[in-house]
Amino acid sequence: MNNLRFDPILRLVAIAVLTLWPHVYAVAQDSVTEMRALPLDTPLLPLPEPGGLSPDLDGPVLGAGEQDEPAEETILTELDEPERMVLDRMMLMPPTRRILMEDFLVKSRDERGIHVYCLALPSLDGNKPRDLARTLGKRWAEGKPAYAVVIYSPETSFPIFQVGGVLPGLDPSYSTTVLREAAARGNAHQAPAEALRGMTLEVHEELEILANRVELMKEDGAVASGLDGAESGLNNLDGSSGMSAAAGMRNRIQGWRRFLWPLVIGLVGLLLFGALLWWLLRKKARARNPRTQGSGVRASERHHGQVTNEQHRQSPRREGGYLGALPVSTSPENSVRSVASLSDQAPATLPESSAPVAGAMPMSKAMSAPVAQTTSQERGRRLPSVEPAYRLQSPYGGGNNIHIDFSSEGLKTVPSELFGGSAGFPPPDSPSSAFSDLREAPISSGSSAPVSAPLPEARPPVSLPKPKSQPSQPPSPDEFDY
Amino acid sequence: MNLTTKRFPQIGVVFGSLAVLVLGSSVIPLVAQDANSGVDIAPTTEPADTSSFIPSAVGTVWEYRLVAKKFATELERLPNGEMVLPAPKELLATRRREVVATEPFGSATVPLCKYKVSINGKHVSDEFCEIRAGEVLSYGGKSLVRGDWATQELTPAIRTLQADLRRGIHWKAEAQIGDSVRIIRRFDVLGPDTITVPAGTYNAIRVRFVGQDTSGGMIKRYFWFVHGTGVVKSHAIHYAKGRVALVEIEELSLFERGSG
Repeated sequence: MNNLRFDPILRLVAIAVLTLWPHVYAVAQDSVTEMRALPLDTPLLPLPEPGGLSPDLDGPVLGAGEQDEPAEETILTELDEPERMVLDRMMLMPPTRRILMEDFLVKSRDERGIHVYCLALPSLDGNKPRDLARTLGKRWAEGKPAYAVVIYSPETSFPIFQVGGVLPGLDPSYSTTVLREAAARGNAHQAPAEALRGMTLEVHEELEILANRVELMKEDGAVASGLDGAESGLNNLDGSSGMSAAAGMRNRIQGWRRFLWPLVIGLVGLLLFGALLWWLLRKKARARNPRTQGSGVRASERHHGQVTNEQHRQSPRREGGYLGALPVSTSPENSVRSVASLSDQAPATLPESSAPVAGAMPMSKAMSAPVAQTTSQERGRRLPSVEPAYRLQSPYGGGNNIHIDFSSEGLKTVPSELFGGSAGFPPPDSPSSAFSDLREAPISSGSSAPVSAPLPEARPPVSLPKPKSQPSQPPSPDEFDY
Repeated sequence: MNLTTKRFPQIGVVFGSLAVLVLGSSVIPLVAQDANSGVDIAPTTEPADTSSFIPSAVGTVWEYRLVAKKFATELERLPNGEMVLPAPKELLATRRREVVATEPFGSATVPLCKYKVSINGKHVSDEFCEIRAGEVLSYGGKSLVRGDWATQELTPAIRTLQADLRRGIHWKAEAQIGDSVRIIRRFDVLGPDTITVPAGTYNAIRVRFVGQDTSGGMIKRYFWFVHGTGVVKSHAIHYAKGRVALVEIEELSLFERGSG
């Protein structure tokens, strides 16, 4: 996992995924009537406000004896008409607000024919919220100019609504637009009670504005003749989605989008995972044999010498490219000789423990020896190199207590104790073991040099947001960007 | 291990994936906003009475008592490490709006009515409007933002008021601010309303506009307009990041007609 920690590109990928995923998912889940409830406690018009300048945000608090009881539990779908416009069976709203809103909605119903029902239900009894809202709307307000049923339930976690009506001459797409925006504004409240109230008032206001437009069109007379038989933009609302019939295609696209985006995200994630896996495996392969990267030879062949003579014969170009462009028709014998002749030019300082030169072996033995192994060794003679573990080590064996690893994740310092003391170089015959030990060895706190940054200090638990006490100093206008 | 033998471009894969994510995240909001491109359904009716529906003489002053409540949209960490949503800040102030001059601004071809706006005596913005016979066009202005004056010119100018304010009247305005920000305002006349403010009781007309801009902000503002006087009350709600960020309520406390 050190690769992940230090690689800037992987870090960038991880940040991008972690940053964009919730956003994309949230948008993919977006719809007109289902949006996350967001915070606020603020007054909403057109509820009457108390006198004076400062708005009364919460209304007067009633005593315990003044709290009215929740409505009797009845099966809503069996009611021909609800006893109230506001059915707060969860006791979400303060009684004063509930009464104010009830009066407001009743007045609007009686004067304008706009029916908006506000329901807070502890349970939907297995019904889907939209289906329930549509059923109730049709049962309670079918044929009315405009109606809406707004439902909040713990099962929905945020208010949803359905709209209907017979207002003529409305553009369904426009109705959809304004109702969508109303839903967004209504959901800009944190507490469920505020979200329910906000959604109800926002939807009511939009229906009222639409009704105003229709009335004005009728008053103007110029278009009145076509209104009576005109189709209502509200009447055609699709009950299952709360959107207009004209936007049905868009709904279907949105429905597809719900599956499409997770699918796309999943594919992208899979791609990223594959790239990450490939990256890690490649890094691992590099660490094992850093000199073989970038060649056309299979790593398994290079590492394990598993290429047989037959394989070598069948793919001379592959090995030939590696050994200096041997001709395609080159036989294995010639290949070995060629390698042997090259190896003759190797420096005399090669270690004694180096593999025997193929040319010094009997031909039969050379033929039976793994070619890749031979070529690897010969390559080592031809182009002697320093193993990464030694590369930047101090030539003064006892004086250097720092080992610099360039071969994998970049610079890091390692205490010399990990290599068996101040003069503890890794044994020459096992350079890679030094790296594996380096990665796996536990780092003691008493090390002379830290390997990594100290662990982040334990963070205190994050609690739910709580309002802080009001600051004693009044804010200045500058804080409001005035 | 066969994976290691594939010679596909690793950087290309990684950055290709990134590009997909980035493009996807930039396209999705556009798709999501598709439904917001609503159109008006009825033509705006020409105003019936356009004579002096709003005063514009130099020296005219409107003074409002302002209550502003600013809501935090980000959690903050307390000294004990607890994450909390800060309590809203409330400001009581006086906002003064005064016609100070007639001068050109931006790309306007005619001299505009210049309003100087101050809060508690501090000059915070200049607004430029063209008062026509039946409408008011706003060209934007200059605002003091964190100590610096910033010019925001609306291109084209948007209609922020009109003389014909019958219930059901509506209009829509779109403008560009600079190269990147586009704003949309949709106005709806809600109807007559009797309103009492410190300056008196008025038979006003309540108008609502909702707006959004491409930077993600939303606003809803109600204002009560009185012919011959101007706005006597305003109630604005600003939304940011899907939450209510600022609520402003202002009521007319002083009105002086200018003579210039």
